[in-house]
Amino acid sequence: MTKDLYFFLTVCVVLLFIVMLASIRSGRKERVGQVVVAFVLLEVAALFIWMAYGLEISPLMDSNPATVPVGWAGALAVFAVYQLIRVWRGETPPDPKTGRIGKVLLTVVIVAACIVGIEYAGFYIATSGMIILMLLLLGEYRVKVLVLSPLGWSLFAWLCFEKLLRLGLPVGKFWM
Amino acid sequence: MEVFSHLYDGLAALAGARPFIIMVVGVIVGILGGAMPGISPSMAVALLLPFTFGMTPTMGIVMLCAIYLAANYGGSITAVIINTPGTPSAVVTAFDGYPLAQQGKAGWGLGISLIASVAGGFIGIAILILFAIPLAGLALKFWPAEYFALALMGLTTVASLGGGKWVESFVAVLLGLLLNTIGMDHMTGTSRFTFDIIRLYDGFSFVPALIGLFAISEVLDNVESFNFNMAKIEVADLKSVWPTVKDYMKLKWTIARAGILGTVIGIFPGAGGTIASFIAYDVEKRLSKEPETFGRGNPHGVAAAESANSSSVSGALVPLLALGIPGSASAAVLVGALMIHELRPGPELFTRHPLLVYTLFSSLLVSNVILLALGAFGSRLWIKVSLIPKRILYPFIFVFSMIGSYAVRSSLFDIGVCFGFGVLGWILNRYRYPVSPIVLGLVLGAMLETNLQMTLMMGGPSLFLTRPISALLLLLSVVLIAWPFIADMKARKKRQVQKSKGK
Repeated sequence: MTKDLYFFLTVCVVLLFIVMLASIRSGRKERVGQVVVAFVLLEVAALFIWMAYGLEISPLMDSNPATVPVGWAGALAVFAVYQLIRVWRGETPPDPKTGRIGKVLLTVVIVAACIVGIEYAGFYIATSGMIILMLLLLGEYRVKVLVLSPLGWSLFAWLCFEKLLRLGLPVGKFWM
Repeated sequence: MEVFSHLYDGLAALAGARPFIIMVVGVIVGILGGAMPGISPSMAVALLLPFTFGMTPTMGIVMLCAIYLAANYGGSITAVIINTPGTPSAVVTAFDGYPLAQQGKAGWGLGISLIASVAGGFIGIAILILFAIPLAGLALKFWPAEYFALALMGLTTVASLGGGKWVESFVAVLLGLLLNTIGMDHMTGTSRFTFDIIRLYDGFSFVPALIGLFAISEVLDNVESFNFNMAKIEVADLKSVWPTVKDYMKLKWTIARAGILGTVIGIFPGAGGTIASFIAYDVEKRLSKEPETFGRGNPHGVAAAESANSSSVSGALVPLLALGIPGSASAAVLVGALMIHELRPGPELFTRHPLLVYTLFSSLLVSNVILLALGAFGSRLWIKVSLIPKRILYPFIFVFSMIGSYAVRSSLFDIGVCFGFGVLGWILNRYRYPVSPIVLGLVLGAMLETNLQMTLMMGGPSLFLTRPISALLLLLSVVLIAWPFIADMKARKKRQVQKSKGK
């Protein structure tokens, strides 16, 4: 199954690149994002259908665990194809203009690092670090705000979640 | 009479300082959440969900409903004062509210929006109580076939109401339904699409998914597009005169019409406050003897938009409480809240937990009164707080999202799920796919699947057609799916004819 899955995913990636190139070459550069999203959704539907046929079916049960996923995935595939046709024909508005993608990607990296950091450094240190980095990323350079925000947050989280709601927040592997 | 006695019991359950403080906090958070552009009512409810974990189920739901109710009013404050609607449904309020503020009548705009909101809220609550109870009684007689058909119709309504984005809405609903199939099959116990990840055996935890879709995706979207170095915002003069009782009385029929319309529209899944306020505004404009004054500061425009918007909240609670089908994105978050407290929304809620339902009804009435008091005396403060710079606000939304996701099962994996859904929501939103239908798909997926499989086991597919209500609902679903398709085809043909004529 795993080998087949990797093969399936490789084929999906290759097909996606072909479709992307085809849409650029055919003068649909301004809708390439929509083409990619609709095609990925079609591939997701195909993946679910393919995997559903590998599910174990108990002969003792009247119910089949593959019925519903295949139904939804089939319908998703139909609508994704219809959307691809609409995009290809130029019936949808062009892709939105790219904004501050760099900032979004940096935000994603910071948050992902924070999630990993929570496991090792603990909740308070990781989230405080994230708050400072995010503030700097979004253009807040006042030292007072940079210092008080994480401190205020840590105090609030400790009082509200640890003490009031009795939610044990992760302390981090480093400190255990 | 029995209803009044139950409502009295509900009110009695709210007696005491704790419930009162919970409602006041809910209303304050709701007003602030609604007033801050970039925070939607559903985001406010989702972010505050973890705070209800330590409360009793009733108090948790009461607080979230107070937030939901107040957030829809909060959006109008910034719409009137700085022409920046805090919520999508407050866009219509700004049409006439901001021109009023520009004419030096900011107090008029705020006063009318507050009174219309509160009055609309009361109309909505009255209709909720009148509709939800008999509807729940009827729903108790439903078989799984009817439940399946009902949930399917709810989802097709959501998608077909997507307007120009109907294909994207259908795709979003189906994606939500498909993602819901990940995990253990409820009937057979077979693990599906889990890739041997133990945390996925129970499927995606619902709360982190919806926090990601509503909060993280919206923040990422704002990070991409927002200008963080905005020029100083001009705040209208709040010292201006507020309307008198006589002035409010002139708007009574507008408020009543819009309130009823808003509640009815709110009942339809996916319609929500935005559509309700647009339609109510349009109706008032058509009925007005001076339609040309709409958009230039006509008080009837503000009253219609706000009354419809507020009453739609109670409308959205009708299908949620009576049938277990959320009528809006925020109502879908309430489903998550009920599930966390091991309560199943739907008709059984009325039979198994009647006190919870009637306490909720009573709390909506009380919260509306609190909203009136806080709205009247705190408008200056709400505006000040709503102007907190986004560059400071957004990092805190991230940490709140993290803690909210973690709190559900004390699992770091769930923080990852929240973040993953946030990125997915941002990408989909960027390319015009709405995220609310994904949430509704996730909410209703289990209900659809369980009832489908139960029906198949009870009597096979023919059971869907032999039971009249189920057959009717399925027929309606087919019409709702086919209708936008046909309309699209017709529009395409029309375009082609016009093109060929042009040549």
